[in-house]
Amino acid sequence: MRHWMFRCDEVSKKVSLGLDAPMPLGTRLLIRMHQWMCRHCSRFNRQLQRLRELSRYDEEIPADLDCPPDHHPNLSPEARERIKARLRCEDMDRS
Amino acid sequence: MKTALALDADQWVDAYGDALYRFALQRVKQIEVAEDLVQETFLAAVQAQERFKGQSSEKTWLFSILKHKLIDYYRKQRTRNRSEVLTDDEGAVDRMFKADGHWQEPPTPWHGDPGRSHDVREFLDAFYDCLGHLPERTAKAFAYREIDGLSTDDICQRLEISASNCWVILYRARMLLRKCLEGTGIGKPVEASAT
Repeated sequence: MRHWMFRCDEVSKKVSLGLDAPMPLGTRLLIRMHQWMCRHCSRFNRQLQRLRELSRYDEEIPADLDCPPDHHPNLSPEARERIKARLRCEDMDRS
Repeated sequence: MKTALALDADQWVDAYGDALYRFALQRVKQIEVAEDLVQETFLAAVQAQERFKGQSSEKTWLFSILKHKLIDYYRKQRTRNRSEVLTDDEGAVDRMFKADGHWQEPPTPWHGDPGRSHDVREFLDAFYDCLGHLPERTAKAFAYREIDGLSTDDICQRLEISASNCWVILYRARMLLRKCLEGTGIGKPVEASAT
């Protein structure tokens, strides 16, 4: 590998850094070039993107196929009232 | 007569309680634990409401708090074997590469379709479990960045570390996390697929 090209360990660090800070265009191009030739680093890049998607996922996931279609568990009325009562106590403690 | 806060808290429970509960229940599989996590989430929200600046929606903010609670829950439940995998000593990540810079154990393909609910659920279960097995400070840095979307400047302030240290911790977190996920069976042997 030519001396000006990044190694896999360097690419992994720079790909991670690129998720947290701006990256110079030249560095981005060198990373792309490496990923184009290296399927492991290309896969690594996709995995970090997937980690970000998973972190931000808060949509409701439909119930399993083996559950009835309308099986969407909610907080029980008792739990709901218990939580509300606890929050009111917290509010009184704070005021 | 209710105070404004109590009214808000009641409205929060009615508006977001079920969605938070379902998300928690799908992860922890136990009704009582899920209810406790939802209650802890709302309590933390009440205590921290002055810090909520409206930069995200209330729902996103409450889900962020719940996700931190889930990570704490998994940390308390964690098993020894996986903790050993996720050791955060200086060389743990270096050992993932050979001396010539190539991967020691190349990333394996992750099976599953992000559009399929079963696959998403499987991923999320493994994801929070693994986050709970990361060293606490490392998991916190990752959660601040990826779940809360904080800038590295804000993370530096909260953890009282330098920017370069913050980037190193985030890099380690990502490397350890993906290795842990592969260890849960999310990844398949490289020979099995050319993804």
